[in-house]
Amino acid sequence: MSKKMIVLKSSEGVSFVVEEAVARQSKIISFLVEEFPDRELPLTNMTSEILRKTIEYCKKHVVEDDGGGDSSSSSSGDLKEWDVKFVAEIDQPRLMDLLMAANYLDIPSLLDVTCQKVADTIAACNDEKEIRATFNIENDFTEEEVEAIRMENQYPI
Amino acid sequence: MELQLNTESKILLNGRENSKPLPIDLVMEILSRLPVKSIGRCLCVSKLWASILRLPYFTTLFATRSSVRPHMLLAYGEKGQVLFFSSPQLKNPNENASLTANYLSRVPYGGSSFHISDPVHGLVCLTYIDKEILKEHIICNPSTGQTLTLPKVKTTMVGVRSIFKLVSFLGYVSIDKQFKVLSMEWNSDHYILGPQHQILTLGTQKLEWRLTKCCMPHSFCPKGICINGVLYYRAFYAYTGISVIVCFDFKSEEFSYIEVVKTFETLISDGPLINYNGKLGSLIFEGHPWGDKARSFELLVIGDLEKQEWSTHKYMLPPTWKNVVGEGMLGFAGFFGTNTIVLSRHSYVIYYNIEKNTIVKVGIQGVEAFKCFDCSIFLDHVEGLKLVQEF
Repeated sequence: MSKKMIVLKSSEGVSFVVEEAVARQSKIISFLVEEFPDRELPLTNMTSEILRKTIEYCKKHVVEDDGGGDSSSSSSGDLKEWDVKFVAEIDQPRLMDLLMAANYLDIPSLLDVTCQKVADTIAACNDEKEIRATFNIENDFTEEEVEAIRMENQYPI
Repeated sequence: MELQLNTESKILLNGRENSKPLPIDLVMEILSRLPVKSIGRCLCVSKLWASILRLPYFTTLFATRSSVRPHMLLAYGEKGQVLFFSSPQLKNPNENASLTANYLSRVPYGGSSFHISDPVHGLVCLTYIDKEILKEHIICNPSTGQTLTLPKVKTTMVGVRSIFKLVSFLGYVSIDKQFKVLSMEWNSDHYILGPQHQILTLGTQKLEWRLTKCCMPHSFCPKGICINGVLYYRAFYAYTGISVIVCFDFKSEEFSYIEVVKTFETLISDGPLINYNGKLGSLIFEGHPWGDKARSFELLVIGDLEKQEWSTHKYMLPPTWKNVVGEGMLGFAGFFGTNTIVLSRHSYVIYYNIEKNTIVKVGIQGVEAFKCFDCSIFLDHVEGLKLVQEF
């Protein structure tokens, strides 16, 4: 039996043909496939690049139902390693886009690895200035205010 | 929950000027995955971040996130202070695994003979003996280094100067979100506890030790375990010598007892009590626990406490056991899930998977310099934002 395929369309209008089982890891797509079978699904807020990355992740994480016992293609340890490499290779802006995509499409495991990667990046910063610079955040504190937060001394800084 | 701000640049968190700002719930998702150490820095980043980090909901979310990634907590005593480190808690480490200890904080104490309770919901209770031979309690959040010194415990034993003979346990009542400390005095002449004990609730305006009673004086083993707000420890009734497991419910503040069935009576006095996937269990070795003469051990699990449904399973130790334990004194760090015993020495841990019958020794980098005497390693430490100042 051939596998059922569905078509996802990026914001640039590029179509991606994906196995349904792969795409169904997104709760949103899963819902849409049932509501609108045999239809192209337009994902207008996702670029082709991000959609391609998302599909790459879903392909790696798909669990085949029909394969019987040893269904998952990789062991959980291998998958974890793959995830770490996967997010390590993406630059900061695209990582944020991928995080937004995971949120939008409702793929909890992808949201988890992308959020964790961003958190690790923040944790690796030496001070708040480096965090602002890395994430392009404007400083709306005065120096006195920052000093006041430090004085509260609730957390080690 | 998308927060629209007029000045988008203020909350940009994606490194690009013209991108959409990240919704607040996603910022929260990210920040909740940070180690506690980074939270202080993030408070200074922007007003928006500071306000997110101060939301009560954030503290709850943070606790939920950290509970799925428990850590090992390492405590080393050195020259009147305790140094805390954390390290990932590996699930199924292989031969090549290694761990790195991350420095958390240092807590000075002015005395001797310190002891650290098992971590409970992100906090530990450090007890030590001060210069006047009185027992002091310090509540610490190892992740932040915050401390709170509790009032001194007054003796209830008239005419006996044995106040330093105290054994204390920290507990957490999740329904009330309350931490409590149970302090039990024992008579050094015959190792009998009670009947008067004292309890203190953190978070009350005036920290006070209150009296509480158990109905049956008993001798005790100072090592207990807390599971879901109930403390368990092994003991013997003072006058009959019957072997029991004492249960203290931190919520109701009441004691109850499980009489150990005859079959296990002589055995249960040795092995440690464990948290077997949320149930009370015990490991029973022949002879000295973790000794090199042991060939097998039994795992006891109590299903229903009321009905005393004991299940027992015998395991043969692998041939390499003797070599591993032969190297010297091992501490029992804990048991996790349904199959892993973790033993520790000063700069390594041993994972013993009882189902696969495999032993893996994993070194901990960054703590090799410490001497082994004053070292405690705990499992399942959950980083918490709970501020000691809130109490």
